[in-house]
Amino acid sequence: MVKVFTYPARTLFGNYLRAFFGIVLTSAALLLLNPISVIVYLLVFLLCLFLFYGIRAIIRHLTRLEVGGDGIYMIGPINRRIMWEDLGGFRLNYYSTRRDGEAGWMHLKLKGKGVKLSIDSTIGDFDELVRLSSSVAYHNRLDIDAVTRRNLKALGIAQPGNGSNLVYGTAD
Amino acid sequence: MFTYFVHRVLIMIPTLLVISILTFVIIQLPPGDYLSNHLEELKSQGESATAMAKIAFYREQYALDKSPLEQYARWMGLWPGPDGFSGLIQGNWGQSFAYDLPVREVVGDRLGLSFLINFSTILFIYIVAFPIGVYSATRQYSIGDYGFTLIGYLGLATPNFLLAMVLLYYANVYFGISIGGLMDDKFIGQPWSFEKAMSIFDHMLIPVIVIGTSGTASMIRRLRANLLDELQKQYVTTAKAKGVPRLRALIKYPIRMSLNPFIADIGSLLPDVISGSVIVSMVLSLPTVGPLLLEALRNQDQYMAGSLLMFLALLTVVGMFISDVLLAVLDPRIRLSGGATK
Repeated sequence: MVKVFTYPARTLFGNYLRAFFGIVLTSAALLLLNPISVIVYLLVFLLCLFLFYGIRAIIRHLTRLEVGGDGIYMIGPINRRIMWEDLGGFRLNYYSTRRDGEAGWMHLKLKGKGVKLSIDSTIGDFDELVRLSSSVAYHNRLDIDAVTRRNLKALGIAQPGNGSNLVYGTAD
Repeated sequence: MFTYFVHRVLIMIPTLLVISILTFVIIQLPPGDYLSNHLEELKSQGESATAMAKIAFYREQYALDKSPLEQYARWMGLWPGPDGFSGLIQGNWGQSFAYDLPVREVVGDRLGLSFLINFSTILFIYIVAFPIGVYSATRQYSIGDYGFTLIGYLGLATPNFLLAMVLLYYANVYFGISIGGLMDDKFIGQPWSFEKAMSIFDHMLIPVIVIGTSGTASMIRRLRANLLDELQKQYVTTAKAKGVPRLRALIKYPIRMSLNPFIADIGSLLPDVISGSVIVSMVLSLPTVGPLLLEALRNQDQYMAGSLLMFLALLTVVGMFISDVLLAVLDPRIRLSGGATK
């Protein structure tokens, strides 16, 4: 059975808003204020950054992820797939811009046969997606780092086995 | 990571705006201004028509008789003045009324030299603190640990300016060298050359040690404490029991984890180093922005003080940004008390 994951429009609204404000602010400063060259370079860099951020939000809007028994497929403007038997990298990171570390978001990175998939926790049913891919990662006996383990634990995802042999690669 | 970077940049923009507003408010807080005081002086000496005309020109140029909002907008370059947009954003740092010169000309090389000293000091702190901190933690309660702890406490307890004066005295009395200034006198005001750079390098050693001592001492203490915490955790004991080599068991995880405060401190070190370097610069006669800032604040030379404060604030904000990004790269772990949002 294939399960479909998409980025809901309401979660992408914040991304669109950030991209919009970033582009408007940097463009207005570039066009109206006649800044010195150092600030021009900085503003152009920021403008490109916000443009890319906006384009990425659009791509995410049009993308869906299909997870089945054989692998994970990204379908949309960019098409990629990782077959489960090829899954060679699994990492779950957590980021927050707040000092207390709250109100952040997670980021799942999957690698397999030269293909990389980056998935943000803004995608619908992210926990389920992580649960599915982590079970494959454990099944493939991938080296799960301590950061990922801790983040999995925070999501309430159980780790098969005690896994202590994974912390230090040389110790069996 | 890219999302984090963009979010962090978006936070930096309003932060800098708020800092610029606060800076402007602070430099406006004392009653009166430099021009008013100067005007009173001129009146008491009998008016000089040229000086009075110049003061009137500055008032018009910098909107000093207009609302604070307009003054701020013109200073930042967000609002056009008589010459169009001409403020900090356009590279015009305003006029130093005390020197009767543009701030840029008065500051000259000092900004670069300040940056060099502060950057070198932070590098010094890290280079010295890291090996000592690791040694102290891995050889806890050894003679070496006690020795470094004693030196660390001395470094924490000794005021920088006092250390500067002591070194100034002993370097002169016992070694016959003058460590005041940041270069030999013959290079002052000269164009940049290899000899000038070497002279700066020679003169920089003592200021860097003086400014960096307390930071190094506190960094050693923090690294030692963090590494000791990590070394006492169960996974280290398990790793050792399973035969993982001692060095590998140390480097693989405990050192990485104890590096967090090292990186997190980049942002907070910068303001400490900068504020510490102001007094030291006065004592050691260093041509940095510290003495200029102090003088500008005392004289109510508002554009000079404002521009220098903005530069220091910018350094701090950039430092915090770098440290946050590095921390996110090094340790993207969730804090178990917190929660991720979708």
